[in-house]
Amino acid sequence: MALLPYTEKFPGSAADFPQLVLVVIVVLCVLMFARSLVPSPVLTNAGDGDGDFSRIVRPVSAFAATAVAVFAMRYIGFYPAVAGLGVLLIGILGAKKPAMFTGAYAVLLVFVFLVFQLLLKVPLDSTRLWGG
Amino acid sequence: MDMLLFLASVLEPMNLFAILVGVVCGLLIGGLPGLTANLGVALLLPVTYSLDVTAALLMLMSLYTSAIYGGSFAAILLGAPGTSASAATAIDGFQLTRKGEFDKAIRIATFSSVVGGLASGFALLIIAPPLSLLSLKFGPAEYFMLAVFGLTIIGTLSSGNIVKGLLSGALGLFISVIGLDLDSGFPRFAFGMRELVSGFNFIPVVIGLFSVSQALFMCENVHGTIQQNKTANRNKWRFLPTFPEFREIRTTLARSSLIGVFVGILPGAGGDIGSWVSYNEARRFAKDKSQFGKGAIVGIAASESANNAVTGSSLVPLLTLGIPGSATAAILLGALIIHGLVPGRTLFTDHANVTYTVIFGFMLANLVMGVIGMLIAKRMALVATVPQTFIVPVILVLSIVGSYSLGNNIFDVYTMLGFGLLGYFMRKTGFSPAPLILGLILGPIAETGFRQSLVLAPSNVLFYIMERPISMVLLALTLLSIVSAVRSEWRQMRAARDGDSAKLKP
Repeated sequence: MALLPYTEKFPGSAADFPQLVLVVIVVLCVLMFARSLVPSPVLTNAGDGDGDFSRIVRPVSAFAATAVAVFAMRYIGFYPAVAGLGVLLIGILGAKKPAMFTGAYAVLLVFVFLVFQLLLKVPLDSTRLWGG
Repeated sequence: MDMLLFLASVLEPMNLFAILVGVVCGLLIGGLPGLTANLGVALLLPVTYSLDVTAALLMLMSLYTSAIYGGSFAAILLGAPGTSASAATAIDGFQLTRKGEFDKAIRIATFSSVVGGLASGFALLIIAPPLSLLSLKFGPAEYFMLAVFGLTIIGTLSSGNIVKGLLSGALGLFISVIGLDLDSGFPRFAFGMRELVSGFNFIPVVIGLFSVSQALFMCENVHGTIQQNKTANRNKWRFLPTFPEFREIRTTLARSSLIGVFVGILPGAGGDIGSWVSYNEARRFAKDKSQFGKGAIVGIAASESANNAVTGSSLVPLLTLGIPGSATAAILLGALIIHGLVPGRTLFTDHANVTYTVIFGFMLANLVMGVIGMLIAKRMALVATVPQTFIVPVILVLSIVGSYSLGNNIFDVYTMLGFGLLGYFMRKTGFSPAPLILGLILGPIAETGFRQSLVLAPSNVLFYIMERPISMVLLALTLLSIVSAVRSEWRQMRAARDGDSAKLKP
């Protein structure tokens, strides 16, 4: 709703389609709210999720660690940051065999280096391109 | 007689080698999330400079088709589509892997991809010129109606909740308008951010919504394996579908291949649209719709045959009219020009030897792709039995690298992360990310068609759109799709209400 007035700044017909889409979103939100008030049978295949939020700590922690690693790439470079991410993931994922995890992770980084950096010439080691 | 000569020239050692290199590179590129067929063709293009023109084109086209098929590996094995065209495959393919039936999923995907690829090869060979004329009849109004029809697919992709599906799709449409308006040059919803002026790159959004969200889901049960059931007998590895499997998917294969061929011919509509449209149609025609999303082989067959059927037919407008229908076709246009060939009628007359050899070679590449794919897949099946503790870092790191490698742009990585978290919570709350992707794909097509129709319409734009025969057909299909989706949900609700296990929620 807050975005609708923002579209008035758009010149000519540039506002037409976004306005239409925003109105559709608002209508659908109202419909969804109205529908949630009406008792209805639970459909067995409604969406992918199980709706259980008690297990989100680990996924959110893994996401936060990844975000921190991506942010750190601009300062310390790709490989040190991703290595740090590996260390964090050992703790977050509760790896039962840390040595095997570390070995597999090292193989992954070697694969990334060979395929992406050497073969495809992706400048992964440049901190400047990561925004540093 | 000439055709036999062209067929024989495919079997020349250099041409066979080119096909093999293209197929292997394509499978590797397609299997890695973030690496697209476009990227692969662009990377291999300089390698082909020194090659004979036939071998060069064969290598590039083999890479293109096998990269699209290779995307199904990661989609089925990890639930993280290797290419955006295989996103629909992940829905049912990954569920089969979880059930311990990876072999079945990959067998169906491979067979369907080969059938789709061969169908597009035949289309290229036989019906290219007449079909290319039909694509010329598609104006703004027809493209708008095509997009509207595509958007109604949302209703059936929403897995039992049309409103949530439509909302997800509308969100995708909204995201598609972010960035520079090409007509006025005005940055819409950029909020002063330089990175948002060019909008969101499609690939990082797909990687985030499917791959990263899948990795986050795996974090909930890190010590488990993807494969939740032990397979009864792992030695029963089959290259081809069983007869009952074939009987189940044969109609879908034919329908989806046709859809793929048709979609491929339309400029701008790629494998993504082809696979989603086919998936929707397969679901609409299915007797038991409840199996979709739980490991329906028909869903895999629909998606995979269609996305590979697009590969050959997307070259129809390129070869006959010189219009590249996709980004990959545009790169191939460059390859043609570099090697001194001009698209158009001369390709089928003066350079018929090159053109028909390449078309026959393309069909052979699809067969080679199937054989090599199944050989690789047998080894890859082990991944499904590895604890998810080891899979999560692989998906996260490859998602970062894959997003970054698209344009060496950190904003693509941020986009991937943001949509990863969004995808996780969407799935957690029963919103499917698939309609969002569809909205994102179709948004620009719908908007462009709508705005151009507004300009072209002499009076009322609706009359302008509806008075055109192709638009009328597309409108009829749209209405049919909506009615079908509403009826399907109503039936599901009635079944749940009548069933003993139905629970009531406030």
